Amino acid sequence: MIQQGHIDAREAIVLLWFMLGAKVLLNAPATLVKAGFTSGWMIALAGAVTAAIALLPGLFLMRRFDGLPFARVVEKAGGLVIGKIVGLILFLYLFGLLALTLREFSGAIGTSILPTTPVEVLIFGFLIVTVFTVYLGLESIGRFSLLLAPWLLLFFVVIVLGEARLFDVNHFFPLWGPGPGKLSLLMLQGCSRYFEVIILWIMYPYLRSRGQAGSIAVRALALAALIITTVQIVLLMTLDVQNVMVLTYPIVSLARLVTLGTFVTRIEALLILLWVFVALVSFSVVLWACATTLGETLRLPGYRVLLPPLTAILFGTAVVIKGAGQAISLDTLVYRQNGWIIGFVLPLVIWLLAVIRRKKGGGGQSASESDQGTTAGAG
Amino acid sequence: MSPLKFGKRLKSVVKNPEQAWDATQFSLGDRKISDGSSTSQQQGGQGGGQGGSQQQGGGQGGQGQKGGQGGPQGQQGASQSQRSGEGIARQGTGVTAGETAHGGQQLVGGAWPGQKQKPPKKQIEQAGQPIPTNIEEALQVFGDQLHYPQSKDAVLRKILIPTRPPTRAFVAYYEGIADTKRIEREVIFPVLQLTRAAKIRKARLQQHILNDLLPVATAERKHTVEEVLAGVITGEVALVLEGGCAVLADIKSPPTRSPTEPTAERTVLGGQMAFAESHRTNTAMVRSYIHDHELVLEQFTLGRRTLTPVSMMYIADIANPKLVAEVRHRLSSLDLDSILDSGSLERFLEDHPVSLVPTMAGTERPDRLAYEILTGRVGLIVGNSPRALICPVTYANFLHSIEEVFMRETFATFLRIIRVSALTVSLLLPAIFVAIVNYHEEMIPVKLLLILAASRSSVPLPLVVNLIAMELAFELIREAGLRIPSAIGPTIGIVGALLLGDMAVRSGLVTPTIVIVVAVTALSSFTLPDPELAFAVRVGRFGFIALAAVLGFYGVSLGIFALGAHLASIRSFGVPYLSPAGPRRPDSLNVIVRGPSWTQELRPIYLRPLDLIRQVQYVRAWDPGIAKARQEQQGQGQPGQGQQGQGQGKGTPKKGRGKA
Repeated sequence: MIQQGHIDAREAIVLLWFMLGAKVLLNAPATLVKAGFTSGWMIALAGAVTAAIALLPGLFLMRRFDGLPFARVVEKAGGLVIGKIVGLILFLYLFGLLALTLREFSGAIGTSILPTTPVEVLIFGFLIVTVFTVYLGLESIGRFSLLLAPWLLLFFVVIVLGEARLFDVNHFFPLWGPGPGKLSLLMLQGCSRYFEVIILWIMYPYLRSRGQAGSIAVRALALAALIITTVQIVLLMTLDVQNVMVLTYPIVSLARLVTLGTFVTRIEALLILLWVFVALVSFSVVLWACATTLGETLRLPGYRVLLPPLTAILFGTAVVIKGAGQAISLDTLVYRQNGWIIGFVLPLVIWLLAVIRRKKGGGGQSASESDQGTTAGAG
Repeated sequence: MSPLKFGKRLKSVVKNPEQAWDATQFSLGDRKISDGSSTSQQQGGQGGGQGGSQQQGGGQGGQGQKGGQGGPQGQQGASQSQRSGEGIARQGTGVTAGETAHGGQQLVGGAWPGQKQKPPKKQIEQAGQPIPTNIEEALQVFGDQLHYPQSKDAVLRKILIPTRPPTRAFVAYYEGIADTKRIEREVIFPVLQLTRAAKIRKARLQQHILNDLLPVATAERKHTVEEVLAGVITGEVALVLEGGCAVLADIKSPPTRSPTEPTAERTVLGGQMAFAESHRTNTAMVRSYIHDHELVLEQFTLGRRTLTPVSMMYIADIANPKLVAEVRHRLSSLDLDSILDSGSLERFLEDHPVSLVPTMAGTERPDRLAYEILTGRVGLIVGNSPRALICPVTYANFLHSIEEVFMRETFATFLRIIRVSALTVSLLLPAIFVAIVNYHEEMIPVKLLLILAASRSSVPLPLVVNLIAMELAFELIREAGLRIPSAIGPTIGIVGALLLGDMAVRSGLVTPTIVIVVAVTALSSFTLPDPELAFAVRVGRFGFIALAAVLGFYGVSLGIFALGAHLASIRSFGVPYLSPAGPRRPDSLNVIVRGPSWTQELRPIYLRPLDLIRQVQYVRAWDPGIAKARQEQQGQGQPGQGQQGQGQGKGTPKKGRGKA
């Protein structure tokens, strides 16, 4: 059944890629430039490399309990109480991320494309489609994302390369930005910008080829890093550091510069397609991960029953956030600077616990067996 | 004679059977029931031409009800459904081929003439009410069941067969769906005249009737009322003999229309024949395209009251057995009152009947059905419906036309690109227009914006109202064009469209731009080859207009995403709807771009056919370049390459074998 479906490696890569790269459509390019000036692109690139190394404990952990959902893995490794606590923390962390991203995307569309539409309507629109998609299951999300990927990439390339005539290589310099010392620290911290890769461990039991999990993570990180780095470089070459720093949504400004001949002169409205599709894939995956984690933690028979209450709370939380500015501040502080704690340290600690307590196993169930009677599949 | 008088007469017949039977003829209203001696003189006239096609159409298991033929496919038991209030079980769902006619030991094609056959006692007990041994009781039972004489087309004709001693019998059939002339010539005449000439004894009459007397292709002995009724109501003729036995002869002649040209799937290239309103003719048309004994025709009977025959056609060594079993399971599990057309059956078989998009395809072209069956799909021919069903299907099925198989691949690809563009335009153009004009005017070049603004300045209604009104007006014209007589239909359509559009613009109610948008949208919708998809697009268009009116491009994007996610989630008989694109599967190049025919070596992998190889890799063996390539490959010692039928080819699935 599709509700109990599984995703293959390509679909998992695309889902992670969309999720990790979605931030490039928001304020991430500006925050990178604020942190690293002209070397912001290096932070993005190095952050991906750091993240790829940092996810190894998570990989070891999931292989140690092959086939078990992440929440059950934590329970097995750390005991029932720790398992419940960690499960709830992870759920809350992801839920907060979803609320902030939802507010940011809605704010971005509201301010850039639909200024007269209330942001509550935009949030509601996003939520309705997200819930519908999550209800259909992870397999549908993965399948459709894989179909969307080439088209969105094409559109992205048009936006990025559409203003090639404005490129100025001199904007790259000084190359080392704040200086090698500070830059090195920022590069290490840059892995926080990819902490969402933890969702791969929630997806893990539903991968058709679980043996490729490491490869999936690395490829998704590489693609995301490529996108973020490309945007950073193009922004730098086109708009200069000082301009990028003050922009809330630099990609919109980039799109406004694109002209295709004399007839089509303004295509930033089309950016909304890219925006909405990437946002919806990202929201769907995170909401699915939230619902699955909570369902597994509470040992519910399915995740679908959680969707209506989660949606209502999500809508309330997103509306309560005071504007996109607050959402960006919270996102930067909680997730982009300290995301490494949840994304990489948490799996490390659980893995160490499992090693110390000599816990392992999971029955080596096949993907199709493992979700019988669990939450991840059926609602 | 009034029905009341007939009832009295029938009572007297039941009370004094011998006396009543002596009467050679008595009147029943405007019709006559007469004995054999009076009508045996009636001869002449050619039998209907349906017999040949009826026999032709049956494949393995296809004629199970008729001749006891049956293969392993015909394993569905005949489920009996009790008809409420009458206490008579009628054959209901799942009556298929392969009924065991010889006490459990199934003889292919029935017994040989002269071979002793014992009636399967257990089956008789299980099947229903035995035919009364007393002919008068039998007459009454059948009279009641056929609502005789209220049903004016029901005929119960008593005859006295000149055996030694004479045997009383009656013939039962429905006028109109059974061929009366053939009944006279092939049933009544032989039974009356040849029996007399051959001096047949009464005890051996049944044997002779089945083996020697009836010159019909299909005749069967029946022992229960239900079996006989099931045959009679589908157009067969029953010869009920005293002693509790009957013989059913297949002399159907239902009203039919000759095959005509397709109306909804017209093509320039390829055959110009469409399915007709005759079940057996339709199955025969498919067989005329596929002369392969592996083409199986399993027959089901659906609808307790309509007893609609449903033929499931597939190629046994191509179609996936699980798919065949699934279709069989769905068909045999249906317990319905009636099925009048393939469209109504489709609703009961589809995976997602409430979805906007169809998950089963219909076709009125036998060549298309044959092509799909050869691909590994299953075809369903439903009753006398001129539209056959295809399952499973994917989105690509609705964008393809059979014509593309017959034309150069470049043109086929071009046509498909046009069609995909038309689908997009038909679904989204009005919505995009509304979104741009209402929310994203900055996208419009200044000169065009000025023109639009000038044309809109004098129009009192909002753009969305204008657009929806024009779309609805067009739908009205289209619907009216279909309903009014065909002679004036196109005229009304053209005049209506011209007048409506022109007058609406002149009166200042709508802008010319809107008329252009609606016209382009309508033209695009006409290019869609599948009417079900066209309907889905027509309905979906209004949804997208509403989204665009409320939220601009944002709303349209939400709609596209929701639609896409829905399409990614649905399946058709277990096959993902977006195959082979999502999930991505290796396939011959034949979704949007159609690769050269000689490279279409594989059947669709997502159908998991038993025989994956459609043709060998180097099918153009005469081509010097190809021959050289084959020689080179053979020289390199690649096993199986270059030999016809070995299933060689490129790609993993094909190597070294012909069956997947």
